[in-house]
Amino acid sequence: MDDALLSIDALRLALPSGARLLDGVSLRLERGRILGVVGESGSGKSLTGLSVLGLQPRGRLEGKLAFEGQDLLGFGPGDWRRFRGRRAAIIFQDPMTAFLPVRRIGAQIAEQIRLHSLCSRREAETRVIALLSRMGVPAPREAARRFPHELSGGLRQRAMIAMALSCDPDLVIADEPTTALDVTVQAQILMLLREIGARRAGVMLITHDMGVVAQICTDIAVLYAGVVVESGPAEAVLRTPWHPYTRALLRAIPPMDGARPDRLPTIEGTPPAPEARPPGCVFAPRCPERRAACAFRPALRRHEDRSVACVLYP
Amino acid sequence: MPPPVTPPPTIPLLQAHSLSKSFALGRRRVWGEKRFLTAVDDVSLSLGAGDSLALVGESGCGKSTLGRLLMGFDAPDRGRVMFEGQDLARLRAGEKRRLRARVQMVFQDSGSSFNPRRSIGATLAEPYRIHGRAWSRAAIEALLEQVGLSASLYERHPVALSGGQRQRLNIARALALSPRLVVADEPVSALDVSVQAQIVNLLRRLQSELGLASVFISHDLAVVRQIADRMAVMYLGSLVEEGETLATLARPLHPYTRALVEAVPRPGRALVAPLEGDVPDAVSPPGGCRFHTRCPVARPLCAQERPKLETMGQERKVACHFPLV
Repeated sequence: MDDALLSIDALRLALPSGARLLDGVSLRLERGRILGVVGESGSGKSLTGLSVLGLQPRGRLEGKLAFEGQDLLGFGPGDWRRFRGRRAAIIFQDPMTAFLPVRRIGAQIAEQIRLHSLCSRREAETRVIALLSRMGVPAPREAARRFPHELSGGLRQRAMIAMALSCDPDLVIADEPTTALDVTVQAQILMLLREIGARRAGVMLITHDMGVVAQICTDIAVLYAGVVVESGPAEAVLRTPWHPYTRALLRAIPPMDGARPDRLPTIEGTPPAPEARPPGCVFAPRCPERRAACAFRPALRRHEDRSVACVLYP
Repeated sequence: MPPPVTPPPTIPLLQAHSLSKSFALGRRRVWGEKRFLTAVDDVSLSLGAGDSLALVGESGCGKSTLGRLLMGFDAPDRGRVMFEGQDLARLRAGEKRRLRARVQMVFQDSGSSFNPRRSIGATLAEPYRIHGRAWSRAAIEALLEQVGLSASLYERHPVALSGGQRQRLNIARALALSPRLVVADEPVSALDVSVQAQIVNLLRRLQSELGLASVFISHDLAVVRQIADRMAVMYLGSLVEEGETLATLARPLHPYTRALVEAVPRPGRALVAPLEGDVPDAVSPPGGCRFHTRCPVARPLCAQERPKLETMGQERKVACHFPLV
């Protein structure tokens, strides 16, 4: 029996066209931890997050997707309605499109609270204001009466997080929550996410920014072309990456300290399209360590607290 | 084709003298007061041949507007831009066209800057056609190879390219007429890390191979560090600090620059308590030092008097009453 908050094993998602968008995603998230799911665009990191809420595009979803041991793949519409919002909530990158533009922020959050718990309109309103103020929104009473477009990007993202947390979910999925924000505002939002993680909920942070992972995540899962190629405690993986892709990705980031290199190390080529993924290791065509054994897809193997899918680590 | 005029070495390639630009926003009420947003407020800059300068700041600080003023896309309300000693505002149409060949721009969104129905070869031939210059297929294929694209793409269309390849094509088009200055507005921020590294390397190689002067507009300090020798930090339309990039990032003089540097998430460093609040509304910016409302080291003087950009130490400038030392 798996006691993880969220446990995903060999998850695959294929579209009717045959494109395999997810091709072997395995990860675990415990309560009180922040898992960074990193990868480049098209790697399937957002789809993984959406699949946990049953919001993935129509297609064939296979593998194991379990929340506190409960199988999510067998969920019906009613199960999902009870699950989303109360047990698990999602924060999107762009809160402008996630809020309804013609309703006030406070009313939208209150609606969600009243949908999931029995309380009066007034009680819901009080809870909204308390939530906004906990999210560090100045003058929360006035902010609740504003329309989404009247708030700055940073405040809108805080309101979005307030809505996600309104029903005290056990799992919070944050999909690039700071990508649209300036760095000084990003730092404020990251602080908030870290507090959520500290309160016994599990946070799945989907991002392309290794710096963000290094600063607030306890664990990391690296995706490439729909496959988790490496995972483990964030500090260990970032300090000594094992998979050649993780290594190359970390080296390609321009450094903020030390000497300025003449050239940044790069990864030649581009990731394969979902309909043209190699049958063997997905990274092999671009891998500097490629060998004959890479013609077969390596399994994600566990080595103590870390996992890697590469023939170099049998 | 007239030979390129080489200015005497004493005149910088590009000089901006106290540039200001504001935009009318319309009224709140029918009889209300007309409101203005000052996007660029008294900015002076100078760039020598082959120099690289980054304009850094958060969204809405005026860095893109400043870039457009330097390109001559918009006319400043006050101040002037001199390119090779000539005032952009006083150029006649023909001269302005010749200037266009020497100053080029690279935009962030490479997806929307090409005509999808035109082949890559025709896309790159366009600058030559517009400027009445001779071109050959061989020259365009050489241009493609200079930016790391295969010459075999000549007959293909931009849709066939990936994001990174499209940005290479964007750069190739900017280089077609051998410009002396390239202004690049967020050239890599839409790209994935591994592709971003390729484009950053390309831009640096072109700077040194072609002796190209460049202005990079960017919010990403790690990219700026890799790509620009000097940087200028903007806050609410004004320059708050300017200096050599590595020195500025290692030891910022302005509290705002320090906050920007510290907010960059990176391994092995704890999350530092960030600045409070958001950037104030540029329509009604705070008096005194514009940064004093968020500044962790502000004193009473900062709310009263606006600091000027003053030289400090070696080749560094800062606009702060109490610079960090």
